Amino acid sequence: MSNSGRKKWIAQKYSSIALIPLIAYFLLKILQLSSMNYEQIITETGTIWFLVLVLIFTIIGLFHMRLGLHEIIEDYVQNEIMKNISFTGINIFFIAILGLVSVSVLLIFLN
Amino acid sequence: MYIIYKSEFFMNNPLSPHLQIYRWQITSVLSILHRITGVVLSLGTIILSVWLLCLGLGETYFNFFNHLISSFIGRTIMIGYTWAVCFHTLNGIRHLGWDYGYGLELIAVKITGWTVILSSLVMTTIIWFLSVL
Repeated sequence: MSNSGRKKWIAQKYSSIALIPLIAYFLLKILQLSSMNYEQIITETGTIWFLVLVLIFTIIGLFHMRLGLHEIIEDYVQNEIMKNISFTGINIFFIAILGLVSVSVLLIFLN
Repeated sequence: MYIIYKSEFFMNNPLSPHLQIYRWQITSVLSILHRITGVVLSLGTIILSVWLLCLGLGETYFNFFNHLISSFIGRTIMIGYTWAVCFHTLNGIRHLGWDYGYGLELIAVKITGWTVILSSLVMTTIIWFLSVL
């Protein structure tokens, strides 16, 4: 257990490093897409490598989110039951968003 | 000893940092903002994934979603969200610098702090200016 804080810190650090280029890429991409119509956006986003990149971004982003939210809850929630409810809530949120993105990516690919 | 530890007084100990009596400083404000923007970004994933879902579902859904975020409230949320992305990313880079031992002097912490605030605002303005063009 004494090692868990350090491991979380390292995981948070490496996930954030990975997220910097991904954030920059997706900010520019969304900016580019904002001037296009639906057909153009579908052709632009419908490639397999782009959709895989979306999934990678989602997984690393959600992982980073989970670690960050855990840290906040560990600092501000003292009650053990509330703490566990919050952790479960975060896990459900993680799975829900990942599911939503996966379905969307599949739909865009089949489009 | 155990009873004292488990007593009401210790269970309801005030949490550090004692926000009610804290003097506002650039260092603490940015630390709090980093957490707040982190939570905001987490919640915003709902908007982003619904946008992606609408894109996959078809043009009708996509246009409806665009109609919603083109409203005044929608625009305000999206601009705020853009700032949250910029701020959290830039301040995150500042945190990474600290992790590797850079910029830990008080003066550096203050300078980089203000740099993060200003550049996040400039970035948000540039992004929305370009999107309007």
